[in-house]
Amino acid sequence: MRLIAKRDAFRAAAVCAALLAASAQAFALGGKEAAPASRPAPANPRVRLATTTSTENSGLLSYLLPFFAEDTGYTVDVVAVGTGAALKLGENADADVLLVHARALEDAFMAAGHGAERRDVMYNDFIVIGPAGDPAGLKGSADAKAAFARLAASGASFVSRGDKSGTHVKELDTWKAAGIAPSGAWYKEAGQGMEQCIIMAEGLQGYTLSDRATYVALKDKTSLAILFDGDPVLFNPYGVITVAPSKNPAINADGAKAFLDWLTSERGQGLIASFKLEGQTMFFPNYKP
Amino acid sequence: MDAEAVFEVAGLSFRYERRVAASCASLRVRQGESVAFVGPNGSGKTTMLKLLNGLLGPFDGSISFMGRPIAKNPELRRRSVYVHQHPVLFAGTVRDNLAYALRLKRFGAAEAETRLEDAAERFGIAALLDREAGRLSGGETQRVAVARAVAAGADVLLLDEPTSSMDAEGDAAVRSMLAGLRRSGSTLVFSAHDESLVRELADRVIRFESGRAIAGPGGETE
Amino acid sequence: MESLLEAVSLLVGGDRETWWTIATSVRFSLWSTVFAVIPGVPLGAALFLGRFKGKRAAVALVNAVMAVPTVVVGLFVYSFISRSGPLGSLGLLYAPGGVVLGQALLAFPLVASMSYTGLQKLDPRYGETLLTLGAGPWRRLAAIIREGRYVITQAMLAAFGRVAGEVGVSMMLGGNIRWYTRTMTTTIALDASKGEFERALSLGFVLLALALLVNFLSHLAVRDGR
Repeated sequence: MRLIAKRDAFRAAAVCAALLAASAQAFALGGKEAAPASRPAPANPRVRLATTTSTENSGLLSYLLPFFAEDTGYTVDVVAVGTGAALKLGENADADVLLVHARALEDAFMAAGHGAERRDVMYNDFIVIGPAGDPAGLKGSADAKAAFARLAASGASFVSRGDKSGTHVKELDTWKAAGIAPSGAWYKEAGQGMEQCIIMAEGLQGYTLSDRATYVALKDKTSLAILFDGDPVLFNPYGVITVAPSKNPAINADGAKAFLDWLTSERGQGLIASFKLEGQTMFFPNYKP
Repeated sequence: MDAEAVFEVAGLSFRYERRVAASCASLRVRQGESVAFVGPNGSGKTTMLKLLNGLLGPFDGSISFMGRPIAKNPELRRRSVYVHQHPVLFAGTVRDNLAYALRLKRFGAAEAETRLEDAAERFGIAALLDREAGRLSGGETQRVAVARAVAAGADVLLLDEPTSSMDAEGDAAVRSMLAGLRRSGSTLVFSAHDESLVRELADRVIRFESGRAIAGPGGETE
Repeated sequence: MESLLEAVSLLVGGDRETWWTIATSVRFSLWSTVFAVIPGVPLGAALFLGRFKGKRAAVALVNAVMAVPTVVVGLFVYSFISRSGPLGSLGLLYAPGGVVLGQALLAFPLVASMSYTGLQKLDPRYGETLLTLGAGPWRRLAAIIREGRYVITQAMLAAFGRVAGEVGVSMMLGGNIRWYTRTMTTTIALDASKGEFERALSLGFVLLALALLVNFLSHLAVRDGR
């Protein structure tokens, strides 16, 4: 005895099938281009790279990785998280290779034995941006710590990343160099990504420390201008680290090494230098064998 | 344990949302007896009937059916049934309803067919067999509900207000059915407001008040 | 309004990546819902039918679990499916499997809870009749699920909505990897974080349209005049 007409069950099943079929069809419409036959095909072609959100958002990786895939046949899965999380992923062997910019933390990572090999890759730089009118008057400061001192003295709003990212660490180091412990209503610890901090600074018509690439990418969404740059102290060096294969058999050690080698090869370094935003070079390759 | 006892209750107390919905110090129902529960609405009659059929729980105290506790007692489902005041029949025909009840008890096809026909005859619903179950009158529904249970082997029936909200014809038909069951030795426990029904059918009366079973006229509840 | 127009043009224009992202969202959401419903509906029905001491506590637990933030659920699952975790060898982390698992876990208590409360609206006489006539527990479970299919469909739709629109678990366990685990919601989060609000809104409209479509289709499927 049926308590539900068979037709209802059929209808429900038909709907589910239709939805699954539709999504499968949409898959066919989208998706990556198929790999050309001439490309090398390594045994384990997926490499997992953990990097920072600012690196990923700069667009550098979207630019570089197709070349890497072309040359080596490796597909890179990019997981973009905060610096701390990226290093944690390396520690847990959830990433095969890291691309980060926090030298002190990188050194600690290597010292603790989590990484197999580390190399310098490139650097970009940090800039201080703020309202075009420059109420804190820090344009033309002698160096970074002088600029920060003027900021603190003026009481103008400053948005801090507040999230232990590379940018945040650089900011804190500069305050320290200036002998200032920032606190008060003017100092806003956002705990968010770079873009959000810029947007927040825009809203407050205040200042913030940003990497050049993120600012340039956001140029048309903000009225803030570059008010200080150029001090070598504000250079932001990147390191590529392969995670120690001994940690876990699932680590794609060959792929990680291939990535590290490629990034620091003449080809990789050349491509990095050729990446431009608004006609400007964003990242300066600096690997010395 | 009295060998003839169908139901045996001791120290029963059932709570629902912090108040005692039904309680009974002791009760014994014997084979073939016909017992009526009377009392105002909400006094615990329906709750007691459901408890006896293992439809409510958990409770304090003990309820036994055929000498064994009702929990995990296969005899309970084999031989006893609870019939709602307004019974629910399954979608399909009257025949479908009887057949389903028989299928639940896993009767073979031939025996099920025999039982079905016998029950239809006995309860005067042979003419209704191919009628849609949703299109029956109150009295007819009540008889079908009882018929499907009895066809599947029930001889201990717990009925909640079997003749309430029924027209005269339905009322008479149900009374006649119950009398017939009583004559054939089935055990009946039913709740009723109708005095005449009680007089006609009950061997014994148990009064309910605010959830408590009270000794009927004549002494103890036993 | 521009966002709405951009949403339409995104769809009609047939940008490969957008289509792929939409398909992935649908795929993940459907599978998550399926894996939430398969254990969730019987659990809700069992809670409804069951009579045992501690039933109240069990129901309260199921309801309480729903208040856990998605990021916490993500962290919890991460600790299991990380390569350094007990289930690491399954390769679920930063792969579709991890997202589906995490989202199914999110939706499962919702399905159970809604099935439970939904079934209470049904006529109790039905279950009692089955019980008194001797139907066994599995038969009763199946019958009550069939009888309650309308409320159960509501529960399934609620689950689908929950997972289709969620971001915390997808991000944590999927990693928002382009062409692999990037869904509409993670794309929206990414766009919003980059300040591309209009694009985020457009995708949001697409998501809304999808949810409406699924709702409509599901009601068609169980239409029975109620």
